[in-house]
Amino acid sequence: MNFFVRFFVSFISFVHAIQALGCASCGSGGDDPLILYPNESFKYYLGVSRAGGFKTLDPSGKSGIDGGPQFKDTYHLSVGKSINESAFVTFLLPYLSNRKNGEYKTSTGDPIFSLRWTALMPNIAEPLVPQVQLLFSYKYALARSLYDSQYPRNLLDVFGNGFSETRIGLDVFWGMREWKYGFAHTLQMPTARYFPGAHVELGLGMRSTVLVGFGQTQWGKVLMGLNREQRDQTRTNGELVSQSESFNYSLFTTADWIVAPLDAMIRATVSRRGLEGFHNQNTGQSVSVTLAWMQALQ
Amino acid sequence: MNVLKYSSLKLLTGITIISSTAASCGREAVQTQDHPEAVAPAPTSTPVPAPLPVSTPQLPSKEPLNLCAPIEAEGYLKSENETAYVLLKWLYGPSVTPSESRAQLLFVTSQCEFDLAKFAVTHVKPWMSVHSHGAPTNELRIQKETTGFSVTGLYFVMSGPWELIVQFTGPDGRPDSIEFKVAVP
Repeated sequence: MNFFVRFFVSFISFVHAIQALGCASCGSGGDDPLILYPNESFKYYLGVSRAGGFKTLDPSGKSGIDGGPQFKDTYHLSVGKSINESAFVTFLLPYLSNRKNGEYKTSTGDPIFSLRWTALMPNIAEPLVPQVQLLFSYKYALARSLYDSQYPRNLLDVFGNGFSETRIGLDVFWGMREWKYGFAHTLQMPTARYFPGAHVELGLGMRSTVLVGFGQTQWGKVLMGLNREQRDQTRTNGELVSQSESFNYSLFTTADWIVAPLDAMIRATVSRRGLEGFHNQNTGQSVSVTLAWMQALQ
Repeated sequence: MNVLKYSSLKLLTGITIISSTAASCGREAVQTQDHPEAVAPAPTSTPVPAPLPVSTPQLPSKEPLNLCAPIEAEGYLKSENETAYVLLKWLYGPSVTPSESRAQLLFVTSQCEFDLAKFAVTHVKPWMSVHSHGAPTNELRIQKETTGFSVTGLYFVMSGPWELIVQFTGPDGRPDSIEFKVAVP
């Protein structure tokens, strides 16, 4: 009897605590924001974000004009299904709207299929043991990119970067205490593409995230973190292009509010890409705001 | 003594070439990091250089004079297959979209003759190698005019270092190309 009481109390504590857990890479402006916890089998995510203030940064980090849209609005629909208690898959389909000077164009973005496997589960009894997740995702370059654009004056029809990409990563998160922290690394392997006169192979990319935050099970959590994205030199027609490696540092803040009666959560994220004071090159500057609603249905 | 005389003549010839080159200063820059010799300010009057520098004295020696040297100094770059020297002149721009950039391409044969009829520009491609992308060219127009080829409908979609790749056929009909470095402010 005593065993069953202890088991029941432990189970309830675990489920209750894990609502405020999360991960290091979700909510950081990454591409797979939907996370299923062990007690969830089906969940959806609806998000809307607006990005603006675009500037381009050259190989020396000097800021310049970006001739593309003034605002990029993105509507995210993501669904996730658990495979077992430690693994789940998600599918994200973005729908984008580019705006400039009263004109706009809309299109589906690049869909992303993701798989997360929790290799090491968190434990309320051992809060120093982190949650460790292994990530895999594939982005299919479905959306029109700069390579196919027909709007040279404003690039309103550019909705993706034109390259499919496979990603593998590791996410380590200490979330069992009120003060939370973690890190994540993702290796990005783009698929080469042939354009008239140029066979372009983007370099390997690495996205690293560190974050720290505070949260309580009854209301949610607030996280702040730093992303570092690096991409190696491009090869064009088999030759390395000098000065083509890119770096981008971004700062993000995420707040999650738990809506307990509905098994739901509201998330707000503000992110600044191309952070001043850091070594950014061959990349862009922008600010984005995201609001999202996610709910477990089963 | 003969050696001294010959050296003096060579020095005189060099000064003459430099002087004729200096006379064409104030020309539009064909910006480049890889071809610093091509950085020259823009012409104010006729963009087509004299095919032969008439003021250049003939050397008494048997060494041939490089007749294309003044042309190179004026900003002409040698094409990849060396069938021509090509000068890029900006008529408008280069600037970031939505502004349209317009350019003029001037050709001189590798024998330093100006004969526009011998050339045909087949394609002009803006490319930003450091970002691995180009720019839409669906509004690009290339027209042969009396002084050269005009290129309109060029749109550089962001600031930074670009290349403008010009594909053309030379005097013998062989395909050739040239790549200009373009710094878009």
